[in-house]
Amino acid sequence: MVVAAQEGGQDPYPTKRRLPIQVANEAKMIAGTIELLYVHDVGDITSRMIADASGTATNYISRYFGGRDGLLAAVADELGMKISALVRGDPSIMRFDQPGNHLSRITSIPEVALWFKLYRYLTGRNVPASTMRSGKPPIVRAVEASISSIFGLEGKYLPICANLFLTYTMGNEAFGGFLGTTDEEAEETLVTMYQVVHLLMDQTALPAVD
Amino acid sequence: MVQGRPPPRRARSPLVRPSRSQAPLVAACDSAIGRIFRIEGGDAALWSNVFITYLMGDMAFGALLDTLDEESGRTLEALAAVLETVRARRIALVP
Repeated sequence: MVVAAQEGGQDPYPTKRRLPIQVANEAKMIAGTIELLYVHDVGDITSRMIADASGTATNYISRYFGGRDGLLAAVADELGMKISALVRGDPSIMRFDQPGNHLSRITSIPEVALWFKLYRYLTGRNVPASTMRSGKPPIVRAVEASISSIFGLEGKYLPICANLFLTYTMGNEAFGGFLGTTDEEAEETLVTMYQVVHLLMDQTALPAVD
Repeated sequence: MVQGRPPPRRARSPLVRPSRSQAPLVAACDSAIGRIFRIEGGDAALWSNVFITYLMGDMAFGALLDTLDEESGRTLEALAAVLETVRARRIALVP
């Protein structure tokens, strides 16, 4: 099921007029690719496999998405929205005592593992966020909303905190082994970031950020 | 899995270092952070980890997360300001 088409009943890509059959085919191709991601590495998924899994044709990938990278970017977009919907739909994720627990709950969502896998691949392909049709990646908006509701943080420091949490988590996921960061150290750092958020809320202690 | 052997901690990237010694990059960053912010020991290691992981994460995933250079600059400034605040509070508590 494609979440983007469900949220608020709004078209996630309103600037581009598309035929209903195209919307349906795109949704099928995105859903089919997500199913393939559960069992295959991104690099092993071929256009033929996507076409077979979605009941479409291989040439639809370039016709609708401008190529395989465009489709994978749309899949990443969709996964981000799905994760956002899952996090918002489970109030127990929002109740937490330690920020590490909250992040552990989020990273235990199977779609998050797919999302990381996909993003690592797209990073290697040098595909920028501008490829995403809905602008700022949904995962960024989801993390901002999550931090806002958890910490009650609003305004100019909210994007900074979201960027810090997300970039650190992804950086540690990708380079933690290379840097020799243990799980305990990463956990300690996340607790420190929790303190960082609290200090940022005390804005008078910090120089102004324009 | 061989019986009796503890399970692997978790899957890591292919960049996992073969040795358990500290990477020269990490040692250099620990030293630099310690000298710049006048902190040492566990504090220097922790904040060095924050900065270097953030910087590497931003270089690798910044484009995908749509992080502008200005935004990452602000985040690093905020981190530095927080570190200064933490250090100042500790000095005030333990002069």
